[in-house]
Amino acid sequence: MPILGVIDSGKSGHLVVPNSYYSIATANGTGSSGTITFSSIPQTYSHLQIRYMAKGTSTAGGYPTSSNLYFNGDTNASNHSSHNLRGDGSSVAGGGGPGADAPFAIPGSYGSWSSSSILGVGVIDILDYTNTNKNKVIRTITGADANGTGGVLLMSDMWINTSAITSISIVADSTYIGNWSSNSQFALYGIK
Amino acid sequence: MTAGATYVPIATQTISGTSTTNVTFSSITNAYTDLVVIFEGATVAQVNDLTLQFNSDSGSNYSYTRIVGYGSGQYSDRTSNSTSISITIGSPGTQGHTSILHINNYANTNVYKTMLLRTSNTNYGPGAIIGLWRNTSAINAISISISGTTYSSGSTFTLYGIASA
Repeated sequence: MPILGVIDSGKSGHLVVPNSYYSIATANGTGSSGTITFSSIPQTYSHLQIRYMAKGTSTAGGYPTSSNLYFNGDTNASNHSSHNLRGDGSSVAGGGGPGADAPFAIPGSYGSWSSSSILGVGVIDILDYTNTNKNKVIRTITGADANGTGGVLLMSDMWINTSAITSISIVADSTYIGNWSSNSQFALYGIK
Repeated sequence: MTAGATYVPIATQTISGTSTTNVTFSSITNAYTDLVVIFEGATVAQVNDLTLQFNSDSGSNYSYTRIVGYGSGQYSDRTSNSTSISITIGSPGTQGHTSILHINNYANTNVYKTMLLRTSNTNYGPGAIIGLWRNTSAINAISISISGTTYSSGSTFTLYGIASA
């Protein structure tokens, strides 16, 4: 199963191998918590993918905002190395480094983002998550647009740990995201 | 936790001949959580954009933000109050273009629809696009159009549905 539906070289037929992509669990925001956790993740897939639509409840200013992706309860930021490439409609910037946060580019509820109808979206790939011989690598494409503001972001992250991933927590920035809104949705998939 | 196989191919359209300027997936069921459209193909001549519309809405209800890298630099730009969303970069032509389009929560009638796209123009460079359709309707039709030329024969458009647990 190609990650993110990466296509083959053919010109006909279906481009995704049937019966290789499985829904594992879905978690919804509540408006009263900034943490989404998937636990007891089956170890029977090759890769994981999280697909989401989300926004925060915070009315404090600023976009894009950051959030963090933690594995197996390890909240030590120094165990991550994250880099990103982002565009805001007028300029391009890159950033990150050891211990950096994961800027998901998901809006809060500030200014143009105050409408409950406008959310950010994203797709996170967590590769080879059960392999205990190497650190874990994650890639994300994410963004949000509000007809006049917004941004799109590509990110890579490494969790410097060889443990198999058994739980994932998506933790909102406490200032600029606050809690995950009640119409936020995170869905976890396994890829054979 | 529950689990089930998903990422289901709903429909594929393969261009035959050189007269097609529009590909539409219609009567899209609400049975899934997300949709993915994969375009791989080319156009008979260079074209400014492949443009995306939902539910035949041609009003100024779309906006999008892009990030693009090319041979000698990079840029980000934005289009607001547009009648469609561009899903390509760098004026695609005969040398091929690939776009992978994600439409998350396409049937959720409480939110505007936001789409996320990775694209590559083999004659220009890679890019990513975030687009908004300011409409809360469930998406039941997706149209991808070009003007001034036609799609090359053999170009493929495939629609997938992904259902969450």
